[in-house]
Amino acid sequence: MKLRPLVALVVLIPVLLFAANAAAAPPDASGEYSKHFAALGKLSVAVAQAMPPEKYSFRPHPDSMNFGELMSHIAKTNYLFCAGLKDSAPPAFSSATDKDGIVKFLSDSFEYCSAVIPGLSSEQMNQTHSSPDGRLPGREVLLAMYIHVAHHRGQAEIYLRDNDIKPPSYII
Amino acid sequence: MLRLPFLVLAATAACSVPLWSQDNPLSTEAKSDYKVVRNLVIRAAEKVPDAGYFFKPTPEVRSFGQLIGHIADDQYRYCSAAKGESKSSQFEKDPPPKAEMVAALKSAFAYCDTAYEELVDASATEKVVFLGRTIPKLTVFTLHAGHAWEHYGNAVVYMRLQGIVPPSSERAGK
Repeated sequence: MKLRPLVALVVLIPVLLFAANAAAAPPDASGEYSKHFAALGKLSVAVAQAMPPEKYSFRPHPDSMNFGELMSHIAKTNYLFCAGLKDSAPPAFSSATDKDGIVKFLSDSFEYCSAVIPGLSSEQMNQTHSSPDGRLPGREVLLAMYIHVAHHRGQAEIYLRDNDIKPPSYII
Repeated sequence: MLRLPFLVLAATAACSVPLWSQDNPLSTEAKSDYKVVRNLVIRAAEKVPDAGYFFKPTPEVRSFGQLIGHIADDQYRYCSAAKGESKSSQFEKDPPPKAEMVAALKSAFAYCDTAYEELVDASATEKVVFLGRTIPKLTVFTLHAGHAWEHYGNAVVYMRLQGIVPPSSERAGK
């Protein structure tokens, strides 16, 4: 676990290079981002898959989300960020509570975003859109989504450790 | 653990952004996000009692003190790169008692404060060397924010496991 942030930096630098420069987004910037976003999605889904089905109800404290709720929260928020980027309503959310259903929900959310991001124009990057954090420029929506996934993955890593499971390695 | 940090971020940005920020959107966004996560990490460090600094969810991972030490060390790692300076600390390797650790964390963030204060959009695209790569200065700050949020996410669960409400959930009352 101690090496993970360092590895993450190496892996995520291309993603963040894009995010940081999105204000001056070149025409193909969203396509470039989407390539790295796919890796981000694979890692998140791998985290979801690492937890056994019977532990999806695990929560470190009664007031915390359980593991399944945490994964579903990432999925829902992905949908909201990415639907906002194309100024549309998100699709109906899955109400799955079992591992297979939640993994699919999470995976589908990244797929949904992967279909939205490559088509974003520079104009859309600079325009404001609805998001779970309020109205934000497109470039900020991408950054907020990255931070959101990082924050909750940071929680999920400890949920896994609590169950004697080593979190999956970063995927390049 | 819910979405409060992000609502706070949005509210902060909406209420406190000066007019000049319209000409500095990138650096303004970076500064706003940094202040939110900085304050949450400091509050978490203050809230965990002395004994909690030795807590580990499992033997293989960092203690809470080491986690805070790691975050402090990384303030120098990231922000010295952005400032073009050479500055580091070793608090993760040998974390001091809570009072000293909190003071060290605040000093580390104060160092980063100066780096963020210097940032404007015109300087954001200047290239700096970070982890052997030459990248835009703003990218260092973006990496910095993501790293801090991920470790704050770790800290949230460390706190919950000790029965402590994380700072980002305080307003929710649970």
